[in-house]
Amino acid sequence: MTDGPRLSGTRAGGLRVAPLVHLAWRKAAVDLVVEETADAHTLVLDVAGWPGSVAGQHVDVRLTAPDGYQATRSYSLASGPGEPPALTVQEVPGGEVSPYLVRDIAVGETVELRGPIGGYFVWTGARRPLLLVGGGSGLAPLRAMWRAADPAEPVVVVASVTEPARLLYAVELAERVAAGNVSATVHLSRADVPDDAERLGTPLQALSLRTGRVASTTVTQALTACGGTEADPGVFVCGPTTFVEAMIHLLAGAGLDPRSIRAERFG
Amino acid sequence: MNHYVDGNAVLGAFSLALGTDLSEGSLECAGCGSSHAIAQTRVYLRCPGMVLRCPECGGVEVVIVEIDHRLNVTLSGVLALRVAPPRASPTR
Ligand SMILES: Cc1cc2nc3c(=O)[nH]c(=O)nc-3n(C[C@H](O)[C@H](O)[C@H](O)COP(=O)(O)OP(=O)(O)OC[C@H]3O[C@@H](n4cnc5c(N)ncnc54)[C@H](O)[C@@H]3O)c2cc1C
Ligand SMILES: [Zn+2]
Repeated sequence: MTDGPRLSGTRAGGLRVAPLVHLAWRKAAVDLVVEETADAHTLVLDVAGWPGSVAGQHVDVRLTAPDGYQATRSYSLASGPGEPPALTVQEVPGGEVSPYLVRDIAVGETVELRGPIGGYFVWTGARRPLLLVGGGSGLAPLRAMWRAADPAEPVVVVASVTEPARLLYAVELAERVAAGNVSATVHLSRADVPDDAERLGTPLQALSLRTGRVASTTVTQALTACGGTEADPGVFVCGPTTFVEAMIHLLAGAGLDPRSIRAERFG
Repeated sequence: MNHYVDGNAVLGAFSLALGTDLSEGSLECAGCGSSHAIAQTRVYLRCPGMVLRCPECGGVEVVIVEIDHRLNVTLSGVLALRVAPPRASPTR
């Protein structure tokens, strides 16, 4: 493990070489499938010797076709630290990998996986407020973060989905809002906010819904709810690349140093 | 289309190619001199191979190509590679 190329390490004591065992391809068996929405499923996996993960990390998943052709894609860990690894995959129609993971794979079947990977887009549960901004399946690593959050600190979630039926983790978000330390604003980019009667008895009742794309007022309010820039919140933005770019722009406009924002672009 | 992702997406392959965990690694760009986490680079996945570009100047820093299960890494745009986390936030 230590006979890789000689690289400069800046730690006192010299070169710090981390072992790479976690990057070997391993078999992961599907233990449970949770249907989050019509086109997004959470796969809870059984991986022998899983080392646990830090919120925000991802894994690489590799599929091999009978003719030997292989496709590798990254998926965020939606599971909290200490939980079995879980991935929430949203189908990209016509895609090579995601339709298989959402439509075809069944409990007991296996994929190959390597990880956990990542040390930048991560939240270790430090005692600071958290501002989590997610578009579509970008909520997946953010779920790991709110599960890892310090219960004494505020967690402010801003989500963007096309319509209410596509919101991931609606029940869990509603429960956390009810419990008190989480607040959640959900923007519906292509739907009107359903009226109260329609929301009654559904998780949507507990969430603050707004029509249209995430606007600067929402971002400013979310930052204020975290205690403002003075509170030095951990700010994480995740989702499609265009969404992430737009959110960084809005957050910078609200006074955050763009370099303090941790982003994960899904492509 | 600018469908790039973050350097985070190739940390698995990059770490394996260099034989050390680069999760908290940083790069110094040969083009503009800025330092940034590998996770902050822009990665273009839908090219032959993976291209990591500097988030500050857009210059190509690293190219990773997999041929017959062998990873080839070109570090032509990199002045320095650090395995430990960057000391300060990147400068413009
Ligand atoms: C670090 C990281 C973490 C990720 N985590 C998750 C996750 O938790 N859940 C999840 O569902 N996805 C996640 N993704 C996206 C995922 O890796 C794949 O890109 C996605 O599942 C599409 O793969 P595919 O093989 O089905 O489509 P492909 O065959 O790769 O692409 C088919 C078409 O869809 C377009 N396309 C590719 N990716 C996307 C995308 N993300 N959104 C919209 N269009 C796209 C392509 O340009 C192409 O035209 C993550 C990506 C990265 C880099
Ligand atoms: Zn540069």
